[in-house]
Amino acid sequence: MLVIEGLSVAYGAIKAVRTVSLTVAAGEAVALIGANGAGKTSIISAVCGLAASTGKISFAGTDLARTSVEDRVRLGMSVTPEGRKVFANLTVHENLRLGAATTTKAAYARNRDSAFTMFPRLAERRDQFAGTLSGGEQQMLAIARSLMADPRFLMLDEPSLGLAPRIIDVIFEHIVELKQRGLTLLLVEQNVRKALSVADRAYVLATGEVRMSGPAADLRADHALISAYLGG
Amino acid sequence: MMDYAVQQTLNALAFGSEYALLALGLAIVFSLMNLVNFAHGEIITIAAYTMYLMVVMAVGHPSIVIPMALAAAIAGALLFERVAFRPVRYAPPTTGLLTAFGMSIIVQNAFLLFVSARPRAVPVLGGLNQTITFNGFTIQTLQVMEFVIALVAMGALVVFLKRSTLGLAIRSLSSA
Repeated sequence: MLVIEGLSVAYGAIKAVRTVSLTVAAGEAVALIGANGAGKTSIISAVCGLAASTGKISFAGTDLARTSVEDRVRLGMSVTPEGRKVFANLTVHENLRLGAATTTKAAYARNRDSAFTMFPRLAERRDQFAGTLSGGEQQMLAIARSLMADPRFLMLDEPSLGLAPRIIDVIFEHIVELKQRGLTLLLVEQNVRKALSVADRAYVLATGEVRMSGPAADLRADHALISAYLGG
Repeated sequence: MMDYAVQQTLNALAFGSEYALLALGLAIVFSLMNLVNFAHGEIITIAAYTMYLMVVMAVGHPSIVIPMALAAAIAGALLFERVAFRPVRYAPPTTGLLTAFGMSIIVQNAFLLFVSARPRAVPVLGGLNQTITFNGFTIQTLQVMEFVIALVAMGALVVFLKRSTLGLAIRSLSSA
């Protein structure tokens, strides 16, 4: 579904991503793991069209070189950004409405109902300002908002960031639920064990390059890898 | 005495509505960009002088003058954005404050140079200056229109900001 070939992203003189190639097949959950500054989020930004990049990115057979951010969403991709980035001054409900900016009214109603079924907590707080939610609730809202665009392919950038272990478990249960629903996932995580427990395959990034890749089960067993690149 | 108070209250409501209407644009820009737009008054000035010019050229009908004044204000606002605000969009707020101030000075002096330093009066446009009398109080139709239009504009703005995707997007960016 997503094919990346020779992708590089640079911010001025700093090369954040160096000729990375990776693929995500339809229905697959792929994890992108690595320490801070490994280039994970830059890859997501390039796929979204938010960071200038060289190399080739294609999605569902379409070369994205000339595709605007909105059109990428219309093609069926969506993102739950790092740090949640909910609109703090808007209510839960209004956040979801903005997530649905590219869809029809009927799709909006359907997706909102399914988001509220998935996250009953959000339904209870639909008229509350997003900035007043707890971290876990904001993460749920960020995921729900990204699902409002009706994606086939969802990128989740550090969904466990800054959350308590118990809440991380809840969030990952929802991620498994999304996978079972047939959504194709690209999961960026520093929480290696969690990421490898839900992913089918994984790429290990360090200083902007792919150092290793393979089935998640193999990487999980590779203790040397985990201690070398990921510090335990 | 009571009559006088009521009459003045009516006048104040109409006059206040006019100011509220003028302030609406200032408030939107401030809440969204944290910028006090010193050139906001000049946008109104452009609209006012457009009305004046048209009346001087003997095009006095409200159905032409009002849309033209609005069009001039919109054109002025777009020009200000392009020239004074877009180039400094990511600069500190004080920079926008200064470019707005500069814009204001340029426009003020342009009008001083090319029109006049003296106030110019625009006659109340045909049909808008009827006096209504009820219970001994007098109101101009223009005053009623000011009040109604201010109410409608504020209501429409609230609906726009609460209901439309663009309105929500604007609020998502505002700082408070």
